[in-house]
Amino acid sequence: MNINITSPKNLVTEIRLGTSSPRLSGSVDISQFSSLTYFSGFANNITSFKGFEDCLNLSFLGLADNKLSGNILTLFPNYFKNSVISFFNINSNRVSGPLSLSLSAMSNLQEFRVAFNPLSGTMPHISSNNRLKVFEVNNCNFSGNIPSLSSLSALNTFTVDTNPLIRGTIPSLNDCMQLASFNVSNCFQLSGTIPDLSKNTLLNTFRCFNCSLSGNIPSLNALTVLRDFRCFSNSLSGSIPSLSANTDLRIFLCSSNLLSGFNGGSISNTVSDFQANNNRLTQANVNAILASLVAANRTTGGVLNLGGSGNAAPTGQGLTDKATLISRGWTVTTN
Amino acid sequence: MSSVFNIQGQLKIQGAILTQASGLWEFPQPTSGTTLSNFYIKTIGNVTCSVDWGDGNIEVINSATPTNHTY
Repeated sequence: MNINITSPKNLVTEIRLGTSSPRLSGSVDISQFSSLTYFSGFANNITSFKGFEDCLNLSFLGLADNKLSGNILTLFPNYFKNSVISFFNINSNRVSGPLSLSLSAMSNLQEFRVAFNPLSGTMPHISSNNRLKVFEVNNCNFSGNIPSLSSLSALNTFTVDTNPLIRGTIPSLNDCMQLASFNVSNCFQLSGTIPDLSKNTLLNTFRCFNCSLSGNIPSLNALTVLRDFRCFSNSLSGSIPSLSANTDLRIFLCSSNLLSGFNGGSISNTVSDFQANNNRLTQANVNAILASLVAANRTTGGVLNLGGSGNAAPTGQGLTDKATLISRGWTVTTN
Repeated sequence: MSSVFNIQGQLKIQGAILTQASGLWEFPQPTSGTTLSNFYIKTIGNVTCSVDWGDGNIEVINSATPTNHTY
């Protein structure tokens, strides 16, 4: 069976296939639509796609959540030299093969999403893509280093998590002043330190858990819109930084590291999940965190975990503060 | 050995369209009741489009107007 737009093919600028229930499979061919600028076919079971090379003005291509398979460079020949394309999304398909190339010819690229595909080789180089806002390559099988992010001043979302073969270090984020979300978690061989975040004042989510990072957690003072910070299961040392400036913080997870201090200060009453278990926190540190959360006066509960191996137990006022938090609906774990 | 003719585009005999050999989306016969939701086409000048759903139904749809079709 065949859906066709019988007329007027040459005037069609945008096609959205919509979604089918139950899902329809089959092949899509856009070669007849020479004026097409936008094509989306999200969330069907499409198994093959062709014809984009005949659509010289195609700037948006969305085929996420389908069943495309085969080598990416065969499926999309010459595609990654295309200067017109702005949005490319093939998340959650079965597309494979190496993508070890530069995207520098894609001068208008704004969103590049290939997550949840068995892609291999090193990640594509993107340092020339100064319009790039979204780079989403998580849950693939990439290896090698994370590409340089220098000069990517428009970058908003960078998601490379769950690529177990990635190694090297987290690159400098100093040029990424629009960065809102950053995730390199579950890259178990990723080492070095968490980079300076003082220029990333729009950052609301930072995740680097389950890596091999060391050194200190950097200052978070500049991150006034930070909501979610997760760095658990690394080898980070030094102190938990002051969270006084993070007045919108919801989640702070730093458990299973080597942290041995708390820089003190207030903690926002927006925090509902604070986990620092399995570190080296002293009795004074544990008491200080409990006191800060009591002072925050959040009355709708939350989760606080300061237990596990390595941390000291609260004493005196710390025990009173623990009881106070429990009375406010918190689930509190300490030694 | 059998011969295979792969005809791309419309086959016309004496000006009459007999068959459509290639299309936008080719898929196996859907089960009865399968619904395609929010099929959407936009055209230059917002001219209307003729869509052959492949099940014998041909529909004229407006530009930039989501359309549903049930097989």
